Amino acid sequence: MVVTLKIWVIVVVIIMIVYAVRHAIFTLSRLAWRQRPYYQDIVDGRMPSLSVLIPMHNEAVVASSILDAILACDYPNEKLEVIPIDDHSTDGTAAILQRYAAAHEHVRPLYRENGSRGKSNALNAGLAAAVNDVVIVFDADYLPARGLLRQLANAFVDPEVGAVMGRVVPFNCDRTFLTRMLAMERTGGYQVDQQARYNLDLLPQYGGTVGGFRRDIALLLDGFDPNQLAEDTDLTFKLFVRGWRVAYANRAECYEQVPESWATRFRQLRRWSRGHNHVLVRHALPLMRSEFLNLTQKLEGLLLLLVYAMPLLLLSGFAANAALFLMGAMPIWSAVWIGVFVVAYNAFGNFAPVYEIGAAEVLDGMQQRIYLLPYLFFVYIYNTWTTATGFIDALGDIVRRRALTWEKTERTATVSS
Amino acid sequence: MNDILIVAMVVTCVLAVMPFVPGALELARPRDDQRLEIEQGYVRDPRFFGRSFRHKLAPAIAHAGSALPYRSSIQLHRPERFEVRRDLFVPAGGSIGGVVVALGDADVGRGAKVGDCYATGGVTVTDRATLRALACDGFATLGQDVRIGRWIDAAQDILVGERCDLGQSLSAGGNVRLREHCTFRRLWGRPIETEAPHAAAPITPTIEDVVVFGAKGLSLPRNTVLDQDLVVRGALQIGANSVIRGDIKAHKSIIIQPGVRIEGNVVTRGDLTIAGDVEIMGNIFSERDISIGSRSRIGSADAYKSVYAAGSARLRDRVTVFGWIIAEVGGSVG
Amino acid sequence: MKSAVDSPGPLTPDAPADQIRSFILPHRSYRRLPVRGFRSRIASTLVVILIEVAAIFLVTPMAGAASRFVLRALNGSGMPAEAVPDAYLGFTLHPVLSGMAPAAYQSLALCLVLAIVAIIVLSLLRPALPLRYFLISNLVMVIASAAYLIVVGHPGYDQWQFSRLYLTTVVTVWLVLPVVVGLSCMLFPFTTLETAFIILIALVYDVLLSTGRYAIFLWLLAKTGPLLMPNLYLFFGPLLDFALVVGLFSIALVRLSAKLVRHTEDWAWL
Repeated sequence: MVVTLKIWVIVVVIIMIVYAVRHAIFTLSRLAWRQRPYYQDIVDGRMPSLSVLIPMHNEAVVASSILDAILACDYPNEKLEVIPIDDHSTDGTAAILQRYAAAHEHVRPLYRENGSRGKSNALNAGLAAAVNDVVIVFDADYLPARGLLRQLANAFVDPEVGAVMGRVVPFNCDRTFLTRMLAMERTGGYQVDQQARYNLDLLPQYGGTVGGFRRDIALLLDGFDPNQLAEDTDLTFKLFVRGWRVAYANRAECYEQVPESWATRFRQLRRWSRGHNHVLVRHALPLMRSEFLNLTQKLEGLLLLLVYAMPLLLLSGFAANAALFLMGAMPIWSAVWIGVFVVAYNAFGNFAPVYEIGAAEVLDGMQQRIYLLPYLFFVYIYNTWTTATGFIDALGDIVRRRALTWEKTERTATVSS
Repeated sequence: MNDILIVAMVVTCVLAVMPFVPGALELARPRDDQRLEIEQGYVRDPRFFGRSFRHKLAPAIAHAGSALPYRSSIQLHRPERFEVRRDLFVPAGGSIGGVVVALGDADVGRGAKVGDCYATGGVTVTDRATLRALACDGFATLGQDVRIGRWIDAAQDILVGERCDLGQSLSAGGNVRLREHCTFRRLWGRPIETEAPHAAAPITPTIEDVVVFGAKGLSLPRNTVLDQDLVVRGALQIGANSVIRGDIKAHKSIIIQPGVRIEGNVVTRGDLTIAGDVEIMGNIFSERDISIGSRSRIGSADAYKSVYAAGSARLRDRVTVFGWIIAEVGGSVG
Repeated sequence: MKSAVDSPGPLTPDAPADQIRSFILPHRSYRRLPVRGFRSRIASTLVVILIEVAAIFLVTPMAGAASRFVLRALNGSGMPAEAVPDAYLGFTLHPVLSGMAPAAYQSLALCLVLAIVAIIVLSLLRPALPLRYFLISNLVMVIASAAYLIVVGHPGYDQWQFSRLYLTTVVTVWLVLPVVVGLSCMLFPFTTLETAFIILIALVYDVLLSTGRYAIFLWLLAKTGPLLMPNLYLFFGPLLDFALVVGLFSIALVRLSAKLVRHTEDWAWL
């Protein structure tokens, strides 16, 4: 038993070192190496036609804000259609959409009252209704800037690009301790992590909002699977496995709202973890078999798929280490490495370890908020436990063949200009 | 417990807590908790500098009225001397600092030095003059060896003499004509045309007359016609007189032989070498250097496009680009 | 590239040509940090190596001083203790051997029950989740430790072994820390002097903290027995060291960021 535990601890430590090295490389790439330029500087007299999908379920509070923002975008109306999707709303969302449809010819809402609820189903309905080449998706609580649609659409000058992802910036970061921590994690995740993955020709993720994809490809891939909670990650891997690429647009920034309470965050993170682990099961083998990816990309893809499985692994490694300690058989090096790397490693999707976040904050020109880095230690413990529950949920789904129900993150503030 | 132990406890607790103290202070009295500033009104405008400059000067010009010359100060990035004149004439070797507005034409003599200048008429800048920034509502003509520190924007055409250094940005509402050995970073014109009769042709290696597909990439023979997008995970060569009716992407360099017509965009992670007499209807994007051969043409009058080089850009003789050229490291003519 | 925007006073046409050229600040998405020159990087690397070598040479005296301090603290509190020579990685250390309170069955059972109750109370009181999870993690460890001691009857490590484990762990941290902190510093454009300063501060800080912690740990074990041994080591051992290093590093990063914001000409792009 002692030998087994020791072997397990060795395995966990090695995996954590791999992740820590991965993030160190990302940090180095973003800080010091040549950056891979995105297409934001392209000015094109003939932009592609865009369909903007905005799934909405009871979004009366924010619907007008996002619609106003999109209508104010610097994109030719004749090339644009805006499709807000009222998904079984019971508040005044439908009435708001009707008002905008009456005033703007290119705003063409969909009203879903039948069928299952959920973002994937709403997007599929939107895809079926959309007529343009490129689809851009926003969640309802976002606030795009005037030039954002062009910045995102520019990615599709590249025929290899199947999807594009912009940078989300928390709008309500000053509300609570949690929002400040989340703002830091987002900063690290986008300014360093995503950009580094783009630099290194790895796998930047399409995040499901402030992003877009080619409509014909999405239809070819049968749209969004309603049984996937992480439909964005699912699409990311579908694209990469088949030879498409996701472009990351660091310049295409958009405000979003982050959870303000730990309970809301718990549900959100648990859902992400659950969904991501479903994607892991679905795409791990196809990823490794893909003839369109090189070995580095496959390994990176695998590490990315495993990010929401790692916390449980980490906890098990910690538990194994604790068991060895209790038995008086714990090797020193494992304590040291676990102590060092438990916060050095943190790769849950858009999150990033401490040094990535520190680097990102410096790049953004931030100062005093960097003092909060040590507090991420507590957030990581929380993240570890929370994502572990999501992993267990996913395991339960697979074993019991449970159907997934979609849950919207609670809104507590309005993103407004 | 003895004193030493007590001291150890206190010191240890203090040391354990101390790295958290600055963060605690920041949480208690936030100094840096504001959201990252996103300029919600931002759009990519090739003529931004000129438009912004005119916008900032408009109130001050209106205030000047008809009592000219008018002298005052104006706050731009910092306080600047501000002057409004009827016409502007700067003699050879002369100098004017600050911001000067000419409600008419401006004539800058040989070797003169001018700060920021706005002319509502046309502008003539003679050889070896230096200007920090220039906006004009008419035609702009630059002599040889003129140096622009920041930007130049003209509502109509801009003619640029040899060996001019065009600063960060040159933009025109009309067309732009550049002579040999000019250097630039960003150009906007509809179109941009070069005159560099002494420019050497870019070297484009001859290629096989068959399709060659290997570990290094793909080589298409002359007269290839392709009605698809093309993505190559290596280098790409396109034979002379080929027609590609789609977008092109290569992970390494692209060489386009003479006479090729591409109806889509060209994107490469490597260098892009375009021979002479090539026509590209779409955008060009290279993560390294771009070389455009003589008589090649990018974009069209009714569909402006962009040429973006993360490295350098080199334009040979009689190159025509409708739209924007960006060379992050720097561009040159000839 | 120097920024003309930062030059004092308005530009004059007769200013040096460099002042006519100006730098128009690109967006933060284009930023990267200035790459330090080759010499600077070599100098920093040498500094890291130097400090590492110094740490290797000084490990034995530092560990010895820590042991002597703990001895004085414990002996002075009426706890008999002695330093016993021990070899580790070729160094001679002197872990402190002192007493440990016995683990009585009743008190262990009580602690186990109390820990369970505390978890329930925390779940009801619902403090902020990160704090709650941290506390619960510690309480779960207490429960596991108590259960193990009840079932097995004795701890896996006795006091001497724990003392040795602790000392060898902190010595390992002292040996690893200069390299880890040095590598982290070299990601950023700290000067050689700043890199040296950060590493030295971190090392000295950790030595002081580890010494004081050593005394507290052994005192606690002497007073409360082996129950808290896993918590002390696993939650307040090397884990705390890392959190502290991050804290110190964050202070350095704030200063760096402030410097870069003041001198935009120092940024690199793309």
